[in-house]
Amino acid sequence: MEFPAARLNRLLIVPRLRLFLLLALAALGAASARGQLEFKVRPATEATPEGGNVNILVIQAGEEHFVLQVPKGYGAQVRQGGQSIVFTSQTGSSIITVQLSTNYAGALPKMETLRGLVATNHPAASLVQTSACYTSCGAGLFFDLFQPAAGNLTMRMRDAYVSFAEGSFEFTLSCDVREYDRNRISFAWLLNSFRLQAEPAKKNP
Amino acid sequence: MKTTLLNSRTRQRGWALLIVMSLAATGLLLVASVMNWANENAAVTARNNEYFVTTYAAEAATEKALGSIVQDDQNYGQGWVYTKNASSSYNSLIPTASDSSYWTNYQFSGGTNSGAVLVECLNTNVTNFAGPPYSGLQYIGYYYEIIANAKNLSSMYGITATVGQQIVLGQIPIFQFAIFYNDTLEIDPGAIMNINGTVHCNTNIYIDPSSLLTFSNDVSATGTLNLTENPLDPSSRTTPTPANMYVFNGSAMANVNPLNLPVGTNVSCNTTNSASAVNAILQPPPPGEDPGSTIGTNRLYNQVDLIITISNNNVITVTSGINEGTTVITNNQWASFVSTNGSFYSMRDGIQVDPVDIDVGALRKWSATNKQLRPLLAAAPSRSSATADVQAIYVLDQRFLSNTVIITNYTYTTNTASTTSSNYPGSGTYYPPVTTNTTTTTSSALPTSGTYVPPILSTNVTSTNSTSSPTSGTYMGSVTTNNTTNTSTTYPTAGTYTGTVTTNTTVTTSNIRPAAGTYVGTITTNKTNGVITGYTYNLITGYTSHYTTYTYNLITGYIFNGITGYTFTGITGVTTNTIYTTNYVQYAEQGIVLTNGATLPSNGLSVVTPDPLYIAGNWNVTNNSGQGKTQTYDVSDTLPSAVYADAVTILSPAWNPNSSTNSLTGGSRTATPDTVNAAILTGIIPSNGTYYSGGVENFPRFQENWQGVNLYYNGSMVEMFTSQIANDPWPGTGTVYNPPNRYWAYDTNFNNPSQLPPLTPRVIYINRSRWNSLPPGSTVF
Repeated sequence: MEFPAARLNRLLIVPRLRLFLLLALAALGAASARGQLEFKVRPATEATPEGGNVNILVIQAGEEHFVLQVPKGYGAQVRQGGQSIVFTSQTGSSIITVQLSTNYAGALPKMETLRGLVATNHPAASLVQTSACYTSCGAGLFFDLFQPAAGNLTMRMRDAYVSFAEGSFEFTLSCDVREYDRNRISFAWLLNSFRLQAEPAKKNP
Repeated sequence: MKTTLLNSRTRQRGWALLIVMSLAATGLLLVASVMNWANENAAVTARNNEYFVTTYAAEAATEKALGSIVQDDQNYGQGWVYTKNASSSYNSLIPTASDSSYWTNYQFSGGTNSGAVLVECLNTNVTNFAGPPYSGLQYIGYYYEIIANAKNLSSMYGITATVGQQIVLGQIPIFQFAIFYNDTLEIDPGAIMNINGTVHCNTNIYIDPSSLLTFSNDVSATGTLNLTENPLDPSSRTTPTPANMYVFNGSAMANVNPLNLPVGTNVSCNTTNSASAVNAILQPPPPGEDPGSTIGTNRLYNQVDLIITISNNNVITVTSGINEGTTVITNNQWASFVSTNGSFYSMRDGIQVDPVDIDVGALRKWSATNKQLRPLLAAAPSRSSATADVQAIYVLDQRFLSNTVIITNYTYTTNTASTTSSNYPGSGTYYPPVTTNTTTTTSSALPTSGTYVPPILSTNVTSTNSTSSPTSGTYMGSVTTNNTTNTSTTYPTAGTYTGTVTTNTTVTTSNIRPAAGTYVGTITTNKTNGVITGYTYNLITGYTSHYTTYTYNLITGYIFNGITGYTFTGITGVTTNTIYTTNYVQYAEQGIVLTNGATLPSNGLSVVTPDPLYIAGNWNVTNNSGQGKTQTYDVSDTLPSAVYADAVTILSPAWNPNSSTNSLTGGSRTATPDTVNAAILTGIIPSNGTYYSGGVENFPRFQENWQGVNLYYNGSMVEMFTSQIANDPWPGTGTVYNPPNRYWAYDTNFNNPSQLPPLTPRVIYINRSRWNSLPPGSTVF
């Protein structure tokens, strides 16, 4: 049996507490987002057994060095200031963005929390699916979104997050929904190839 | 005597007449003979011509029946032709006016039967050896004889011509090929590879290895046989293939006839099996389909001993296969060998797999002792108590595993505007593509990265002469140094020289003290007995100076395509009248995982599924007596086995589903030596200009790091279609897998028809063996 006063107290305080926690979390996220990790990208090639030479990008993010394979049929453009890499398909119909941030260092938030943030970041889109996603340097989460666009077109997006010790990477695929199946493969390969470099690059003395 | 004289003259005139008449008669006879000869000759020629034309008509009659037989054989197989012929369906196939009005002049018959040809099956199930390009392969043939008479009704001669043809409708077990591809065949291994069996492709073959590739037997292609890389292969290879990279020890032939499966679903495709038609043999029959129909008889579903079905709501049903699934195997029976509790991640397809696990060892034990299925199998046609073990199973996963999103009552208004911005738009704020606007810009400074579209169009320069050397980056080309040296008695004025001025002097002794400015250094006063006798000093004789200038092309500016902004379809707002709510469907892929298969049921085992299939660990390495070998080409202890699936992946004994998402090189996905002895019939994802198919060298798929690890595979590799479910292309090496040391060989057991895997499909091999012109009315050759 709950006393009316206690019940009133719970009804009033608990939502406030939740609101406070959410605001604190948002503030924490904003604060951490203000800092920036060192971000350097250099292109290289890598020989694979029977697969020939593949184009890779070596990404220095803070103290870590990561490797990505450039998807076939895509060109890469590094945006140093934005700490991101934009992969554009040859046809121009698909774009994959890799964004470094200091958010979610060490671990991603719970799926429900991250899903809410993704929905907030894409207010015009419909968030239709979420799932774990896997890279060669750990698991992450991805979210599928549909976004109406010009005319009768619909854009499909897959927004994936992978955390590492100092921050996280956000991988975003954006393309025409009709082109999705083809570009999903490139996106999956990009995630598969994402790994920590075996030997960290030596710094100049 | 006048009278005597007159008689003599008269007698002479008669002789002349007689001679003339005789000559005329002889001439007439000669002419008549020649005309008669000519007439008879023309008649013989006409008869001859009519005979040949009539022979062609008779051949046309045999061809019409033969064409129909071949067509039916291609589509439905020998059995169908045999049954149809038994009801005399081919006999009535003669050329008619509906084919061409020409045939109204002819009457056709077979033997003594008018209006029909003679079609007879001479022999059935005759085993024989095929010649090149299938040397050494054994086909099982039905021998047919077709005989037709033809008579031209409008001819004065009424000749009857008879033609007979013999044809063999053969079938070659498809697993007698080491490699059989229905689609484009590429073989580009990086390591040395030997192929010890026959190779055939129903389209084109492309051979471009990086190490020696040896074909020990015949190689044939219905299309072309190319020693180059496939134009649709985006890889960079050495092409054409260097001559020291391949060896053909058998024949190598292009443009041979296609070898088709008698799949009843390809009636609209007479020459080549379409991929979808062939894939249909793996699919379950639709409700109501008669198992005895032409399509039904080709479905492997209708030929297996045991059917395992997982329904959409994850209900497992196991039934017999031989009596149309009417015998249901109880749960406590199948629980030991069927499970759906596992899960792993397919790195190749980038998707979770919720598999159906089949414990083959447990299946073998159950099969040897169960009381439900064994009696049925023992009583089945061509089976006995000695062959009552399960030989073939069908596994079908019907769980709803799709991520299909269904949107209902969905309308929206999208507000977009063509937007130009100086900044690149953020993800989700625009609809691709983005156009980068540029303008030709001239600037004295080199543009920074990201502010222009490379390259720099041109660099402006002006020829400059300066006394100072230009700094790096301010000029183009080389710098010319100009030097001038002047000597003068007067000091050079400022600006007429560069660097330092050298003062020239000479040591001089004079009795007069030099004036200031006419010497340098100090003056030595010379004295004799205290009397000054003179002065010694360095008298200035002149000045030497240099004038140095530099000539170069000074950079005055750069012309480039400066980025002025980006134009794109910006999304300014979206109004929807439906709020999307979905259940966040977890997308997973079907997969049949075969484990514990080192020893198969006593008569061997074939597994059929329309889903992707995984073989985990050693497969078929031990016989019924427990004898066996791994890591060897020796197949003396193996049993007949095949897998038929959408895609086939080989997992090593070290495979751990829980490590499937780990990094390839982290150690937890490292394979261990493995041996698989089974024929494989499956699909591939062909090269398409963007992706390479992976070639024969990657026909079995992998998910582990096999680098330096041995995989022994003894079997037959048959590709018949494009994979429908595991449909992501070959991922290259390095992330999803690394290739094993390939110890692959054709399983020579398959040369023995009694050791072919259960359900082995057979491709059609038609051979015209005889053609004869026969006496009219013949009924035999």
